[in-house]
Amino acid sequence: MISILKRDILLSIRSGSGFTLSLSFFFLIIILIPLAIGPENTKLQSITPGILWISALLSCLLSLDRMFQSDFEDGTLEAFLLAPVPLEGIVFAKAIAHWLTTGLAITLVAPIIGFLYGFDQSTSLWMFLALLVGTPSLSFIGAFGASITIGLKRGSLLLPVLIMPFFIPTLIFGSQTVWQASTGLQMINSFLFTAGVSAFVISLMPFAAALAINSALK
Amino acid sequence: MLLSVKNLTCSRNNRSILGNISLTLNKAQIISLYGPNGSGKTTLLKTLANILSYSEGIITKKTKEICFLGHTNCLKTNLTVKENLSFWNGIYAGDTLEKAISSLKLQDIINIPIAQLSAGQKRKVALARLVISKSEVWLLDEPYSALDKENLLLFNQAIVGHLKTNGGIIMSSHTPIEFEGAKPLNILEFKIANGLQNDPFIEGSCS
Repeated sequence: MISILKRDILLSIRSGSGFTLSLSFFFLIIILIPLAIGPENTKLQSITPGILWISALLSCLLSLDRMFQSDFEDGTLEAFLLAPVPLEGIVFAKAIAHWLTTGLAITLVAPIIGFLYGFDQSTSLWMFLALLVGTPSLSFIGAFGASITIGLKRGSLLLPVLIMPFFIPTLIFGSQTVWQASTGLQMINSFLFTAGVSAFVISLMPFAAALAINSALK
Repeated sequence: MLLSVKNLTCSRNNRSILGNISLTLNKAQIISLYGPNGSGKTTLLKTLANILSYSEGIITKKTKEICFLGHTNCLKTNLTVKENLSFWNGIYAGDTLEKAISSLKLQDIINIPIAQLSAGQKRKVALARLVISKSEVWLLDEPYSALDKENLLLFNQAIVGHLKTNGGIIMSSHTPIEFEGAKPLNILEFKIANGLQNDPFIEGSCS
């Protein structure tokens, strides 16, 4: 599984679809919002938690469609079926690689976003923690979505429509955590729910995705 | 015995295309599966590899280690030959990477990205995966395609090496392969009449 992790990170760097694309897209949305609605600090701070999570979600979507598609096209996915590594483990490793190149990269720049929007240190810290525990669920749900659109014509267009509804719990609890932290309210419950959704998704989605891949190849 | 098949029926897209297939692959044996385009060679190999499901029959395998090489090469064009082979070496937890590189004489292209290789060189790298896998059974779908005479000899040496270690091979091609001791098997013997016109581009329609 370490081999898959290493290879996918390397591929994402070489193809330019990883860190740079996701981060550029994320920063563009975050920077464009104040230009569109004006620089008023209170207004910006009230909508930032939602904007932040929607930006993270859209950035993760960018490279999802290639998660299994290139392996499907070059026959690697068939070879995986016969390899002495469980398919669930392969899905897990690929989702982790996707998270490292998108979700983690976004999480690491979150404190900069907090600074740009004038949040205090405590809010920026909770923003970082919420993204750290919440973004893995985006990659794992995405892995399931990518697995059920393998081999489909226009699968990359269908993928966001299929998986967006599954992002809703993470979006709600993740943005609530940041919003409650910024207004001085108790945010621990929302944070724990964000972590809970991630834990549930990480434990379930590799099995669901492996099942979908098996059925797509047969 | 490595693999045994009894009364197997193969299907593709819910349509039975091959039926009543019985064969046995023994240790150090090579079976040459031949037939025209669209006759179902790939379907049979994928069914034996358990990539495709089958509707009837029994497949008995004495080994879990099966390696399938299809028309695609399982290589990433953005990575070099070494990076691709190291990846598969990690997947198979193998220790034969150097052996695979030297037996197929890949030293000269080891640090070149796959995207810059010719079709024949890509095929040769794909064949190296078989050596790395240490699988007892190799299922090869037209492995000689794109190989020149020199590389064909190298690959045949790899085959001989595999047979010497008591491995077994089922290899598909359009005509029976000229390999000492290879058992020819015409796939048209198993064809199910399905009323389709002869069309080499529709699988299972050739008679």
